Amino acid sequence: MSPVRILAEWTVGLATALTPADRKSWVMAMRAELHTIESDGQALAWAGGGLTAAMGWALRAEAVFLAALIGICFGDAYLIPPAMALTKALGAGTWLQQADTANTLILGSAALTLSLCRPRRILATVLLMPAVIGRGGATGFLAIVLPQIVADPLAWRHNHPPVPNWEMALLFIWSFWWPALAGAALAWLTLQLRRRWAQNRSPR
Amino acid sequence: MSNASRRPSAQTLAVLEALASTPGDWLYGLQVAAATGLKSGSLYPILARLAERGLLESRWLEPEKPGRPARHAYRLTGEGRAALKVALNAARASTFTPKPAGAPS
Repeated sequence: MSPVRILAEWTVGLATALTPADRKSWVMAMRAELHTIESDGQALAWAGGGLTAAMGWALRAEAVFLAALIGICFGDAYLIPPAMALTKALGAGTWLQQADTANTLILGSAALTLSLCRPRRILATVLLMPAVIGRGGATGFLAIVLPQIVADPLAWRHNHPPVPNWEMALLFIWSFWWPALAGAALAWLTLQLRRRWAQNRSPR
Repeated sequence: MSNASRRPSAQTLAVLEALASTPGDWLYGLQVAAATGLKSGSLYPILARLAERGLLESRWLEPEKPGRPARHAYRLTGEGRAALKVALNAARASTFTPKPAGAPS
């Protein structure tokens, strides 16, 4: 089998993986045709078309999820600074005041909440989040921000009183977890909409 | 406006016409692609949509050569042929609009 043919097979395999369950049979139909195409180049073009269709179907199925994720990422940039200022004014631990840590917690928790609905979304989240927030890209996100989550609480433990009071804990929840709750609400809405669309689709 | 009542695109019309050109015969995706000039990325979403609307029926056919996967084949339903007729009439009406007598050319 030529490398081009192998690439075509991989491409159509990726298309199959990306396609939502209700469209899988259409990708299988495309895949079956691939075996009857003699030219390797044409087979690759056919498989590429399959991948395009699969991405279209996947994007359509995940449209509400993607909109929620992007909304959370942008909302984070505009809505969190006032909450951060309040946290600082009330004298919370220094690690809570780190913008990077806060952002990572917000985005990570929101993304995880959304991902609970479908594990495949974790991949989309990991790919999309650094791109959307634009904070130095994926390298900066993984190399600087994530380790900070571990480093900051450790530093805080040694330099500050160990336990914040309830007021601080509630403030933490308010400041850092509401996007996750919003994400959960949007994920629930996604499921409801998908169920409604599935019911409206004529069973022919 | 629902999807079903929307006027079909030129590509959808081409697929319907390709399937109508051999009434009663089952056509494979590759054959429809060859007849319409559509790439697979455009063709299969159209086929899926038409099948959902009941305008075409599909079935898996045994492969001609052993060891190859079963192929998916398609043909128009009666509803599909009627929809094609309506769409073709609408297309003709929209391209040919006779001017009233005395209207400036």
